[in-house]
Amino acid sequence: MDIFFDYLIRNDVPRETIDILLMFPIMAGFIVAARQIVGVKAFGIYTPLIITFALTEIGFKYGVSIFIVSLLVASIVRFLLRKIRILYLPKMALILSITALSMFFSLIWGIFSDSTMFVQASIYQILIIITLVEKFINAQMEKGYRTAVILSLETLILASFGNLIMTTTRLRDLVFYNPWVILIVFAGIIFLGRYEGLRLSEYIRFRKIISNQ
Amino acid sequence: MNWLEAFVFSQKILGMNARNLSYIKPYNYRKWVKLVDNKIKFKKALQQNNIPTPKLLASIRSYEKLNDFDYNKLPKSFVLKPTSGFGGEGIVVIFGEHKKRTADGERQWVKTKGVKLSETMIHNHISNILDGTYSRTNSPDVAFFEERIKINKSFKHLAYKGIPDIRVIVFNRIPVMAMMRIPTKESDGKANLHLGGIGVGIDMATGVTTNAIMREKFIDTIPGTKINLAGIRIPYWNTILDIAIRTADVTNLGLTGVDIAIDRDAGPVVLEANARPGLAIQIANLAPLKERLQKVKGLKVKTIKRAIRLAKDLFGGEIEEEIEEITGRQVIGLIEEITLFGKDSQKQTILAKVDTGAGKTSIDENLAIELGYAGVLEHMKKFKIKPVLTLDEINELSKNKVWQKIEEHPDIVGVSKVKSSHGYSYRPIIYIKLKVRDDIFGTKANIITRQDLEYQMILGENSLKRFIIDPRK
Repeated sequence: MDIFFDYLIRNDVPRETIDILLMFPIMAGFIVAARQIVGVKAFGIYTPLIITFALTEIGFKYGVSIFIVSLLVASIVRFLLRKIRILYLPKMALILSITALSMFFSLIWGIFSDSTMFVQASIYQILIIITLVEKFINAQMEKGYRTAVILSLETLILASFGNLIMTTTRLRDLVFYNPWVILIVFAGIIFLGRYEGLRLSEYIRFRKIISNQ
Repeated sequence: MNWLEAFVFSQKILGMNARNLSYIKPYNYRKWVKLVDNKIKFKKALQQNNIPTPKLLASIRSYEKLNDFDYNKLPKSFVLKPTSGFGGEGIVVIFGEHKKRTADGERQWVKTKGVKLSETMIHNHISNILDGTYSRTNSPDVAFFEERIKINKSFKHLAYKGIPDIRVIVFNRIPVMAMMRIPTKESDGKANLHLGGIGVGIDMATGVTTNAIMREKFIDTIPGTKINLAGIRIPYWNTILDIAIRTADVTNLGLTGVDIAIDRDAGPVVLEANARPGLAIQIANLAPLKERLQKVKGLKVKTIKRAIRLAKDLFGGEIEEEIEEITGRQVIGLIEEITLFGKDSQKQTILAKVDTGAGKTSIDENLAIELGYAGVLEHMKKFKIKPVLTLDEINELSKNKVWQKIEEHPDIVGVSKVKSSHGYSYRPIIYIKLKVRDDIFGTKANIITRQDLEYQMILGENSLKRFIIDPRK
């Protein structure tokens, strides 16, 4: 494997790229464990994963700020549009566009607070965080505001823990030098896929049944 | 209970992982899940199997059909639904027709809160449904009209708007757990628990409610009222279990949640079946579901009767049974679901009122006719006796020995003089066979016009000697 990675790096593939690809299964496994064992729902698996990577790139503080700002802006736009009878897709287009435009303000804030990391961050990372808006608005329409906020918070918490894992240099190095570790992760995911026990959140949800016994 | 016992017990609760992995995956095949998710197809399957369900009035599959739709075909009240809708979204309930047409001569109907809907407005709503606004996957959908269910009298005071329904979880043909779902102000007339509806646990043996939850928190009364939620007796309990099993058979699903409402006229009707029943029913019943599922797994149950028996024996409360064992008499409530056997083996299942204050049992004229006693009523007409008599008139009849002539009819076993608030009446008595709970016996009953009364039959003292009556039931 070392030869393979050396070859990639010699040909200008950034170490970051290799790290993200190698860490992907570990992050996926982490999100599966959070769902199957703890009971954190979030927005599926891809959204928390991609937001974790975006947070790591932009920096935790600014990443979280963008996360919250974009949800707020999207909610306000949706609220303002509620009276206008308009089909789903066009409405989503307006909400997403206005949320994207609001990022100019975030950039200005970044300039004022001298955060070069944020100001120079690839705009794609910021747009990735905005993909969350579609999920969020969709959940709002279908499951109500409360559920949408809970799911978003869960996504944020998962991404925050994910960010911690991603920024652990030791773990990155471990996987980089011993890529076979991923096979153990796969075995773990299969195990979680067959786990039938109660989730931690369910022990709380059903506590009255247990205490009534 | 220490934490180890608590942990061991908690393994009897059905969690999301176990539901999906051990029950939905192996027992609910995709093909059959699709059937219950399509409300029109499933409704047709129910009708083919003679299971009562609100009648389909019309369905609209395309804009072409929508533009050609004749609104004169619609009755005064109906429900408009999306075929692949879920969680109660997109459903419009029409309670009646407005007297006046619109300025353009369109018919107008009235929905909840007295909001008026014209043909054009209904047209717009249907086009939203066709666009897939309310479907599970946002893909184009089909709209349909069905009969509106009218609320049963015993539930009228419970629901804010809309209609309470009974969710019965059936696994391997056996009903394992049930709950009543009551719409609230918060749930906007919908019975779904996650929208803020109330869930009330039901004792499987008796059909009596136990604990109630709203938003997964325990409540005693309907919020804002003093209406108690425990101890409500669900009418037609046996029929509900019977229909739930037959519906589960139609779905071909191993594990299913059958939603049944009680119509004022038609009795229990199936609203829909669910291939992914929710888990909150365990909280409402304060009982773990996984344990129950494991108990009936692999059992081979041939008849529906046996399945009902098993459900009651395995998952019902034990208090009544104890009383029955000691006294040898069964405990019944004030309203009982009973079966009457007619002259030519007709069967009628009705709700009867148990009235210890009434000396004699009486049944309604129309019910008597349905049971094959039309001849008795024909015979009575010959005597031209007024329905309400004074004391003098009745003494006159007795003096003339009219009863002798009346009793000439082979089905009449006697004549009864009954005093009521209006005056006296002279009624023929017949001997009928009936089934109350598991008891089949014969009793004398007088025939009376009870059309304006709530119950078609009153069980009086003469029929009640073999029972213990619990007014809470």
